[in-house]
Amino acid sequence: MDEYTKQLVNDTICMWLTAFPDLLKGTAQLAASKTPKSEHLSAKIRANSERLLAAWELVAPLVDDWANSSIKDWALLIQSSRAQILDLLSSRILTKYTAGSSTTLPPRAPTFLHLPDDILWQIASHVRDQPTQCSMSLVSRAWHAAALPRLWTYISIRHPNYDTVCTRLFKLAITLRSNPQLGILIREFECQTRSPEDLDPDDEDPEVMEDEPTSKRLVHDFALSKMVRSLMTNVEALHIQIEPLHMYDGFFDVSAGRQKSLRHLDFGSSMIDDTAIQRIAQCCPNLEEIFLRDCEDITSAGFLLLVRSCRKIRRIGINGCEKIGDESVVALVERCQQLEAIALGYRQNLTDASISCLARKAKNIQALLLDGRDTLSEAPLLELLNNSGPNIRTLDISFCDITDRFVLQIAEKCHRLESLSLNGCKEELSDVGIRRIMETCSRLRVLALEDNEGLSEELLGDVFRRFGEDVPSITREFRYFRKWLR
Amino acid sequence: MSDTLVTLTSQEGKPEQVPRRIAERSTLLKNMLEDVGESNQPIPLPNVSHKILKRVLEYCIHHKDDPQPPSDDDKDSFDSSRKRSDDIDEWDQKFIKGKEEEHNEELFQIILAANYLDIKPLLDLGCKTVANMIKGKSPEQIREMFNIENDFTPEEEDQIRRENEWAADA
Repeated sequence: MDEYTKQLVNDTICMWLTAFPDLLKGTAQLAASKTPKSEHLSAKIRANSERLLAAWELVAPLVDDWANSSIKDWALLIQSSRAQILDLLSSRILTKYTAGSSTTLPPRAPTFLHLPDDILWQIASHVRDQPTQCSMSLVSRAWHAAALPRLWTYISIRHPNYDTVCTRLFKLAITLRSNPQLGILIREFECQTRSPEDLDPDDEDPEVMEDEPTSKRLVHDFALSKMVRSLMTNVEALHIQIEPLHMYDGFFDVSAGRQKSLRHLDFGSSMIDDTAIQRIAQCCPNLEEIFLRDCEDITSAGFLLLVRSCRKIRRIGINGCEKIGDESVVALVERCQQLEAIALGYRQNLTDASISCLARKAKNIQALLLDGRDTLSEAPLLELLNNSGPNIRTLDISFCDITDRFVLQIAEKCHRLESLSLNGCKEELSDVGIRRIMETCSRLRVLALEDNEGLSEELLGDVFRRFGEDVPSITREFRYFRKWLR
Repeated sequence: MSDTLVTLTSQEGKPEQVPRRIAERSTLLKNMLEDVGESNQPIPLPNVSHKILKRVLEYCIHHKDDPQPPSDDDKDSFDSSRKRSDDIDEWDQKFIKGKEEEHNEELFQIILAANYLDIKPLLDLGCKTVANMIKGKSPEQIREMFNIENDFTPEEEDQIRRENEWAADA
């Protein structure tokens, strides 16, 4: 066996051992007593056994060829107890307790201060952070029942350290393996080697990893992400920003078959490339929403594959994708007839051709987020307002060469407008257009006007008083956009 | 018609007179009054103590001019999706805080009353307040705060702890 495999096996076993030291104790207990002595003990052994089996299934494919004797001992111990564990699990003594798995805890004595279940559910719906959700699930049976769906519909694993993310994924895989009911609950999954504060597009090269994982580790990590993915049978949305690329390949393994439930994908600012895009195109026929902001490795070739297979795309973000240009935007608009929202621009070298195409062919467009640092003229934008203005709800036109004429056109056409950003128009805009918008667009809730020297202090004061300072910044626009359009 | 007085009778049998307009902040009472029509009959509220009824009415009086809460269809609209549990109106915050020493007990009673009387904004306020109070707290602290009995077996607790392990930083 080569050094590489040895290291891999070692790492995996070490991870396994750190994650579940008490499982070993369980194994020892099993070895000592074939017949459980008490109800508690047997329930405990059962729980341990399930986790142990799950862990074993993860490790097993990696330890069939080893030289290191201590690892061999561990593996043999697990393997030899496997039959025993299965035996115990299937025995009648234990089937009695298998009904009491944590997802279906029967209600027992009422709590001292009893709140009806539906109120607990409402309270849980206001709890959005994971640690508190975890705490809630441990308070009592009633609280557990209320917290559980919240805790498991949306899974988020975010940490700047790659190893920590992997360890947590590993723990998740084992839990899901031993309790598949929980995997069924998952609708949305997020995995990032970055904390949200770091997701700043101006930050060119964020320090995300302390150590580059060895290429050996990647084989295991691939298996890990594949495992996690396969256990989330109903997942609809994935947000994944994790390097290296092997992790993506695990999440979109073609052999896993088509992933029909998957409708939302978010890979903003990641290293995802054409190969990964090709996999997604093959696996996800029902994709409705995909965000690829700042995915600089995707080229037109990969993107064309995507729009050819995924015709149901409604919302897409490709801003900052340097290698996707006009021809891709045109292909997208022509293939995906249901397109509602698009974010584009910023280092994309777009020309008026893209905007013209959107204006003429995207009949259902409701949201446009355009960073015009490329050279775009006003004419096709006016055409867009003319054709789709009454449908538009979100408009973010930043750093474009627009004038009051365009702003007045917005006021005239876009009566459904809810959010408007016109940043960085320098001295081109005057108060007239903005005043008119404030009069006519009654549904407007957000108005952002940064970097506009042509506007008076008085106007900006009025805007602040009416809309507050809660304006979507460029860095937040994506999540925000995704949330309200959903 | 909206100026007519309505008599509400609390758990203790004590009557409380309020303008109909105020009473109608409660969807339960609103529907009742509509069904009954003009009547001077007092409405019994056996589930609400007098003290809590007074507190609830205090809330209704302050919010008498608020627009009716949006129906469920608008739930996902732009506005509500931006609401977070920490943006609670200043008056509401002070109101729900009440007297320090009996805060939690009273808070639960208000939530129960709001639920029974079907006053959605007040129910929301109560639930958000509880959500904010338990934020970052341990299970033990939550139990202590609201006097809740831990009815898990040690094995169950153990299992849930392990199931949650992925969420905690190692």
